Amino acid sequence: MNSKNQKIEEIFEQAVKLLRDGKTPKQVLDLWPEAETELEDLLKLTNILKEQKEFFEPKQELLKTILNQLEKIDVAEKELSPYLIKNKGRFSIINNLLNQIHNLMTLRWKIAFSLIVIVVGLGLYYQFGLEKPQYVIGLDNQKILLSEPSADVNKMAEALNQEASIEQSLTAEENALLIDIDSSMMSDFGQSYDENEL
Amino acid sequence: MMKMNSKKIIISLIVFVVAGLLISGVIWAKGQTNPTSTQAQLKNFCERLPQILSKIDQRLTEKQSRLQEIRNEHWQNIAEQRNERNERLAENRQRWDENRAAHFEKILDKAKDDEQKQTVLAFHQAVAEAISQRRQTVDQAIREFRQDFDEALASRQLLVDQKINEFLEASRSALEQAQTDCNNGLEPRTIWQNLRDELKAARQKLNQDRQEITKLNDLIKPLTETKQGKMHQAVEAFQTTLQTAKDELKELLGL
Repeated sequence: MNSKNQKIEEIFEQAVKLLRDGKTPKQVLDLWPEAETELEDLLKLTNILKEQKEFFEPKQELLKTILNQLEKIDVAEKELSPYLIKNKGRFSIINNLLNQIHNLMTLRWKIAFSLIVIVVGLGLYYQFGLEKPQYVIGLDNQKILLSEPSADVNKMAEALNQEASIEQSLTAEENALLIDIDSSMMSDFGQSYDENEL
Repeated sequence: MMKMNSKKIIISLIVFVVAGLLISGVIWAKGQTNPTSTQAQLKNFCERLPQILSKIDQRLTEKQSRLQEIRNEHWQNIAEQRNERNERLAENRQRWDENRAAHFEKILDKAKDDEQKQTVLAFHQAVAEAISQRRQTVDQAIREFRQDFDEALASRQLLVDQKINEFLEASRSALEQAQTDCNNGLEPRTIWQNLRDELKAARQKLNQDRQEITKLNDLIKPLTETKQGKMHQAVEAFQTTLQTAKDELKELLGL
């Protein structure tokens, strides 16, 4: 199967070349009757793409602008983006858009974007993922850690006794810091005048 | 040489005496009241009285109008503090409940068979009921405390208002009397003296009333003690129930 596909590819490449050289599709098909069906489909597809050429291919000026904005990369680099590699016969609008976006993003931006994603991810994990220690609010708004749940009945009882104590202490706080407004007001009225200054 | 020294001594003595006389003169002059200026002041007292009246009355009126505002702010503060405490208590209780449920889950997981599970569930039920009972008692104690406190404070405020009104009445009455006396042509010095005495008496009375009114702490103390007593009982009852339930559970589970 693979060898057959390979042969079709080779035939297709030669057929495309002949078409470029000025041969008609019929002439090209006659050369390979054994692959006539597959070749005919491929050539039809090629024809469609050729007719829609302007839609798919960017203008020269735009290509120049994009290329100038790109940082120079080492062409000997092994790691080339798959979008830069010419896909065999397959081409899509989405791929083209991704290709253009990818080309615009410099290495610096890629690193920054990755860092942002990592930080946001960690933040979300810390906020929602991690189990935060439980606490209650005690006197003077102090945080009092609750005991770690365990199967130990004694520890559970200790926690319950602690609950009772804290509750009791909190309710004792009520009105402890109440200011004597009434006494202050009486004092204030008493300073409305000084009879010695008449 | 000796002649020069004695000359110096004499000159120094003269300077010293003259300076001393001058200083004494100044002190004497300052110490003396100027009968002319005091008399003028008293003579003009009735002319100055409307101004004095207006000034004092304005101050008293301002404080009076501010009185209710201060009272309202005070009650609002109390209400806010109470709401804050209610919210904190509710939030704490929710967290305690969650923590307790997590404990029970772990204890339940340890149960080997259905019988043990039933024992744990029964313990859970007993604890839940004890906590509910304790919380109800605590909430009721708080409610009663707040009610008693509000009544006591309101009653005290009424008394304070009464004393302040008495002071205002006495002060204004004294000022009006002074004006009447001026209109009737009484001796300014007498009017001035009377007014001074009456205003002083009004202030002293107010101060005395302030001392005599029950201190706020003394007002709250018995109420607080009652509340704390009830809470202490509730906590003790809870702890006893918990201990009993815990011992039973441990015995049945063989812990």
